[in-house]
Amino acid sequence: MKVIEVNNLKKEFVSKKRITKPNGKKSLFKREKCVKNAVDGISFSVEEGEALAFIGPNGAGKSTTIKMLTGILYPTSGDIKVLGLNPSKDRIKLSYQIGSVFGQKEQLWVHLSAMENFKFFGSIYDIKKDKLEKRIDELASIFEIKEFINQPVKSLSLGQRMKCEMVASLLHEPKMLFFDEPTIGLDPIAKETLRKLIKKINRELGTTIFFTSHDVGDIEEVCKRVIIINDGKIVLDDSMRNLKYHHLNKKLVEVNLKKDVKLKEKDGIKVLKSKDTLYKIEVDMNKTTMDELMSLFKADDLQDITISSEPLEEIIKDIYRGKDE
Amino acid sequence: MSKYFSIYRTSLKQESKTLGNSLTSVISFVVIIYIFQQLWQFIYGGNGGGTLIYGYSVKMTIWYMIMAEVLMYSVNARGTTRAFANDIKSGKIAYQLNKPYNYYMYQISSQAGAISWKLLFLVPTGILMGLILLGPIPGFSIAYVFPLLASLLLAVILTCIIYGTAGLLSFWVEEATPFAWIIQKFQMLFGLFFPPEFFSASLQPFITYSPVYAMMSGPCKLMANFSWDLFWKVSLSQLIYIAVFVIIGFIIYKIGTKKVNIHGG
Repeated sequence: MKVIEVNNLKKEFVSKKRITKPNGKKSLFKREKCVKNAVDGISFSVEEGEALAFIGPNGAGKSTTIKMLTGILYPTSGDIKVLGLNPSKDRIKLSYQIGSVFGQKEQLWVHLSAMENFKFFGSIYDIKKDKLEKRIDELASIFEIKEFINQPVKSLSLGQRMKCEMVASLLHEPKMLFFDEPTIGLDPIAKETLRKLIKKINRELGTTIFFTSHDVGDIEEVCKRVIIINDGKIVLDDSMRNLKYHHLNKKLVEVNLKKDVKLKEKDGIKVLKSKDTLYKIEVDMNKTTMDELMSLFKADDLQDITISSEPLEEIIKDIYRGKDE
Repeated sequence: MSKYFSIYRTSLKQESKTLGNSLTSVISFVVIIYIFQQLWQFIYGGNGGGTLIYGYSVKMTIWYMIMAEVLMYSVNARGTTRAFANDIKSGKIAYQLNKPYNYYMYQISSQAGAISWKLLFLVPTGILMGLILLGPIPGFSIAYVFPLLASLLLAVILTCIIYGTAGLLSFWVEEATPFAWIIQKFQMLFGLFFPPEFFSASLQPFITYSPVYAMMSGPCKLMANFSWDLFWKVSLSQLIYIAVFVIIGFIIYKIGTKKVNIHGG
């Protein structure tokens, strides 16, 4: 079942700037309209229970899309259906079925304890007392927050606070969770914990995850599908497996030879760096094979070899830059 | 409505955790009352018992001023406007708009919680200071306590709604607090320092029918010289202005949410 259906969605931001006169000076009163297409006719759909990464460089339009999907921003044109509802028309109705976690923005009352906050959110979402208590208990165990649940939020670390933010967003059993850079500012251990928890929410509770992040580690670990958006347009919509194995076609080979050999570059084989008997070579597996590389020198001359894949981050950067097709 | 009561209660609870701030505010309130009491005693020439200025004895004027200061201290005017502006500018509004409540009502309920907490300190302190410095209000009856409290509550609700509505202008302008500053100066000039009778006859009708009267002068006049006629007149003007500003607020909110341009999208 499709939980998100987006068709030809557009969002324009209109601003006004002062007109520059022929003499180079800026007019005091006359202004011209500047239209920025933050989201430029995108279409996609998300299946129930999917974990989707929606990524792109800064200003690509990902946060704007999330905000349109949650009913915060009104689209300029196009259709959106989230859980069968139109977010801008049925925002309140939709809010009962979705949750959101925005990194570095808090929804909790900082002077109150996490528990007091959860009770507040329970009343906001009309959750009955006994059901709420059960739910808090269940989520507190999953998120391991029982230890500090009664401490004021302001005294918690960022990692602990993010866990509480997530629990607050899950109290009403949302069918979908929107994460907008939830791991921003967290240390590697806290990031890892949060990623595992998001995965757990997706796998165990069956919640659909819509995830944006600049951290490739987040996406790699949490999501099974990735949509890359740039300049308001979708430039890639593929499974994470395909992205890794189809786009991970370049290998980095570091060889240390026993003696200095003049390596000849071939189509798909590029020597990136060489110093004495050490060579750093890029091999494009779409154009050549490892055998071709090995044929450039004798096996007896080989002292050491390391083969590694190009980091996913580099591939995504290339897609952002438009190098990848 | 239970949601908004829950927001009100949670805000009240949150305020109760900042007891130090509340006590500092009370100290400042006490100092201000004392200074103005001395000032008015001086203006009345030390003849506290006999002199009347525009029908107000020194006791009436100071009780008027105590009520006015309670109202000024209880509503953090620019803070209320800034609460909206900060949410809109920081993008925190993204969290607020996708919750099952009306954001405008959320902010008003939340501010009302904070105000109620301040009133818990300011009202007893004001009454105590008045009793110590001046003695009882002339002609005061216990039957006036409830209507006076009702008038005070309506005044703070209206004040909160007016500054909140000004805060909604943040959907259009980068900084809405200058609007709050202007409203506050009107409130101080025509409500806080002097009762309406102290102004020229040509200005008095404007003050009496202005929101400042419902926010400040009306309830303060009731404190100084209670009458049931005045109470009904003040309450009616408060209810009308509450309705007017709530409607304006809802219209601005509805248009504003369509215009919202949150940072980072």
